[in-house]
Amino acid sequence: MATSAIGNDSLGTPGSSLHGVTGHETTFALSVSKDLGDNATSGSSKKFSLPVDSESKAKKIKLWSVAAPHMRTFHLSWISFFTCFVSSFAAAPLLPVIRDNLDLTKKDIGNAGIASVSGSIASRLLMGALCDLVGPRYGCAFIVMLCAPPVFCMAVVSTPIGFLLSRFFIGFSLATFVSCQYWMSSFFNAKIVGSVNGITAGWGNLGGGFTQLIMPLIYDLIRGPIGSPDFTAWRLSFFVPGVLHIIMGLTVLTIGQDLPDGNFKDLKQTGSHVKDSFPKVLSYAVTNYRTWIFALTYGYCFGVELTMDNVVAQYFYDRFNLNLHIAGIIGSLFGMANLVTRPFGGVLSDWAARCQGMRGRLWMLWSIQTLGGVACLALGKMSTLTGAIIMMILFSAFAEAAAGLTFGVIPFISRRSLGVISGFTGAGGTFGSMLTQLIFFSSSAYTDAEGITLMGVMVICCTIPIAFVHFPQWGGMLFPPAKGATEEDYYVREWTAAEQDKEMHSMSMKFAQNARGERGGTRSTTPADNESPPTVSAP
Amino acid sequence: MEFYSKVAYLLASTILFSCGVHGFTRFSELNNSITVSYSAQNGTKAGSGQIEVSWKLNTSVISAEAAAAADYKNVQIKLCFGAISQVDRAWRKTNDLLAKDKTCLYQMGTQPFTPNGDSLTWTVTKEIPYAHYFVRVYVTDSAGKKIAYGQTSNKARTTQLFTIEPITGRHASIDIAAGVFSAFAVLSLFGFYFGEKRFKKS
Repeated sequence: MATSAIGNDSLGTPGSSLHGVTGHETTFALSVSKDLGDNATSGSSKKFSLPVDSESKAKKIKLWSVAAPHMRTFHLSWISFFTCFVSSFAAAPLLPVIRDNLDLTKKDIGNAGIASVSGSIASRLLMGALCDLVGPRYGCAFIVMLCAPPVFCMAVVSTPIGFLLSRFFIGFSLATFVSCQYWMSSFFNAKIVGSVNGITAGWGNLGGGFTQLIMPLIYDLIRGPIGSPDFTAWRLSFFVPGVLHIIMGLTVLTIGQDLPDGNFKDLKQTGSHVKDSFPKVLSYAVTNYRTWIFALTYGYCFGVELTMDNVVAQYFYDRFNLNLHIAGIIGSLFGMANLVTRPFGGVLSDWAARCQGMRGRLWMLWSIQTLGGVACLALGKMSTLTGAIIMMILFSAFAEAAAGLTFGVIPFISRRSLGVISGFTGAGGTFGSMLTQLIFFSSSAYTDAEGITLMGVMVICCTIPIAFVHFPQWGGMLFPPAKGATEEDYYVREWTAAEQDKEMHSMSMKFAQNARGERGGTRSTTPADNESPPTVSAP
Repeated sequence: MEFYSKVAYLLASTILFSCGVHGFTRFSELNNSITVSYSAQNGTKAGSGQIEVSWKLNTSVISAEAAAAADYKNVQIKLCFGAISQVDRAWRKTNDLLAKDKTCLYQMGTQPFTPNGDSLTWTVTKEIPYAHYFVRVYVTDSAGKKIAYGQTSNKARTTQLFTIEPITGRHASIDIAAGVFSAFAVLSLFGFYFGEKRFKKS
């Protein structure tokens, strides 16, 4: 499978911009224990501070280092993503002031909340194409810099529609998720890229929580010591995320690079790759029913997380009569849990697979996401502050872990259409957020407390479809595997006989062999366990 | 069972505490014994406009001696939302339980209670949003609990409402700064992009 076909004359293979979102194989450690071959590779005479493979991708990750190029890129990447989350949800904790200044109704606020996440559906798809064309460095810089003007526009809006448009265009910046994943998959070896992407996704999502903390503090600072009136202070506060965008954009442009060996424009990467046909890839994604089930269920873990980012501070402010910055601090706990919960979800998925294989992953995902729904239901019913805070923390832990767990299953749905399926899942997540905000938080039909409780019920109901996912070779939640079904049979179905004659399916077959670990328990010896360490092979 | 009764006690006391000093006082229990009159223009400007309020005891409802006996101590003069400004805005909702009532969020002033009444001239502060308002006067006893009221509007809060024109919060300097920063972001991005392209060519 082509991992970085950028630099070739043709564009990257379909979905290659989303490769690495989930690319993990059966080793679960953060560093690769088996030596994949010599470090002194052909073509690369640079010395890297981390051990690298033949494509100069790092095989280990050192979180506290900023050494060029791998760790520096890692930090640039997740911080850019984090900044975009900060600005996309910056309005949420300040809503009690903004709604007075702009004379917003609940409908206006709800619509703006929906707009803030809906732009990203389109922009994530475009970002994939952009990264293929100009590389992840420019892809990231483009979206971060071009979304700075909408952030500054927030400071000058005076009508509900202006507010909505600003939030809509700021929401486009959530496409940095794609550039982040693409960038990481160019810098880190396939064996650890899954964990690396889990960390960057989780730490990026952290921004949604951090913003609830920081915006009220900035607002209080401008209001208090500096003495601006309320309606001016919140406007000035938006300069902070705006300037952060500019700083991150400039940093990415000056010290970022597309590939470990240099920049996109300076290098020409050679290597054979399989040029796949987009219509075929799309059709295999669309006709696989599992794609749709996970697109739906992701909307009820990641989607409700985005909804809560928009709703939680205002909820605590109104229901418990707290002041703005206390409500912000409490609301921030929701998103900040992402620091550990989302990566933990991935770890939990891998642990469940070690015990019970794919069935374990599915059961774990269903249980954790359903528990999240129960906590959400309880949150709306809590009338004491302490109870509400406890339920909120539980809800955030379960929902975010479920998002991590979902991406523990996605790599196995398909090999050929992995990128497209990941894209569908991400879009489904955002769509779930739009839907819950529309139904429960945009009209006066429900109070916010009722809305949260009903959202919990919806989470529980929409998680049930996971029970219908069944892999012939591994089974599903309710039924065991079909007798005699193998991984190869499942993955070879995606290739026609003509394509198999051309050996286009060889990488899928290799993956199928390595995926035997998903059988769980004693059946899960992979060929890798029985063979000597593999040598470096050209993809 | 002892553990559960302790938990129940804790829960009950937390709920009671959260009701605050108002306890379970309901608006419907208050005596409408104050006459209030006001003078304010529609579109009074926040920051500079003024509202004059005068109030006195309505002796046909309650006599001065009875008022003193009921411990009428202080008055709070509040700016309250008219019903029209509460539509689709749950954060301004009227609730009979005073502890949860959000009708009157802004206080214009407090004065000691006298049967002959008093008046107040208040300059509208800058955080007041655009809405239709009326004036309500609460009488509190020595413990701070509300015991009586009077207001300028009717019970449904639909008559005799006036609007306040808020500040926008915008300034020319903010607009200019936003424009400059935005332009800088876009120009530096394209500057880098085309600059690197040209550098590569040469």
